[in-house]
Amino acid sequence: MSIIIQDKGLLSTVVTSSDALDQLSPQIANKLVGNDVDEKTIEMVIRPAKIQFTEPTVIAFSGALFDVTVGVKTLSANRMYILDRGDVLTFHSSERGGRVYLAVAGGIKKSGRNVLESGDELTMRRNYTEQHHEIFSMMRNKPTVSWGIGSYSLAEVYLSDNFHVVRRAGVPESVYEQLEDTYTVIGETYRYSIKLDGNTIDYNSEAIDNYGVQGGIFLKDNKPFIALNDFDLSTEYTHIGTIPSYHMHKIAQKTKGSKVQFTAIDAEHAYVNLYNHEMWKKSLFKAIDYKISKELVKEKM
Amino acid sequence: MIFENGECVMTYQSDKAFTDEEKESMLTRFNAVKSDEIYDIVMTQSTVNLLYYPTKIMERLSVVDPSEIVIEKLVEVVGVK
Repeated sequence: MSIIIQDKGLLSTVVTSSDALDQLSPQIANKLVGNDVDEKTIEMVIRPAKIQFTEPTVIAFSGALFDVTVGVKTLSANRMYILDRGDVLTFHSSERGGRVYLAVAGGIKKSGRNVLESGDELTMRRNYTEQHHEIFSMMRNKPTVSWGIGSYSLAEVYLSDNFHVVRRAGVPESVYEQLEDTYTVIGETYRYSIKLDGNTIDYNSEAIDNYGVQGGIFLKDNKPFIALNDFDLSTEYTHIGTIPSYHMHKIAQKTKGSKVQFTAIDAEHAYVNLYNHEMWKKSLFKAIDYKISKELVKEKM
Repeated sequence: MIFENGECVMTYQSDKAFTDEEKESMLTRFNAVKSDEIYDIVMTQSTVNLLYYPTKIMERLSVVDPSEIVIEKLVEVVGVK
């Protein structure tokens, strides 16, 4: 029993949440189908895959806001659905964002190469909990649940174009003054870097090399770019600051032509913001757990 | 120079490249301080970077700023004051 990649789209891969560029969306999608948050999901970029299901499957997807259909039915992001044998999940254009993550209840089994090709078949991991069985039982009577996560709940973490930059010791404040401009995303070299167009930064450091930290802002020909997950471990480009982890999921959703605005902060503020973000995430996940439990109780009555 | 490289990485930057022996010594010292909170080390030609989970440290020590303990460990690993 499997899911079939009818059309791989632009680029589809199987990832764990910790390896995903947007770490938040796969966690949300997994939570919505009762999975462990780090269960593998299918990450689809810009033009997502067309996916056929060969058995009843509980799914959810999160991240970019694509128009999504199964036949004539429209599906929404951040909501649990059951798809039937023969159903084909199709993503159309995106209103916002470039990456969407599809989670399947019980998880996906994938070893070896994680980049998907058209015609690939993915086996379900069937890592079912008692709750999964109850969800399946409930979903036999209805194709979806009465609730989802509204985009307003995620607005704070996704809608803003503002990104914090943690100041780097030794970098003069004038650099951050120059950086506080609106930049336009020129494009992404897949998982490597995001190139920006905007103010040049007049600064050069004497370092032998720098750590290519994820979220690092480096200068090439005085133009800033952002290092992503697969950026070089060591780089000679001048490093001027780092986007904190709690803003990296927003960066991962940036597409060509979208805007980025930087605000320099100190590490002390970043710690507080990170803590608040983690607390927000915990309460969101608790709310999802509660909603699922409540729906299951209602079903039993 | 030691500095916060974002809020999850603490970096020591040297003005000269490390030798292989120096890197090996630092790795050995890191393995002695490695924990659930300070979980990985990345070394480049001239930097040593400790990767850590700030919220774990914040919760364990009830502090708003976890940097002090990480800096302490980084100094131990690098072996400078």
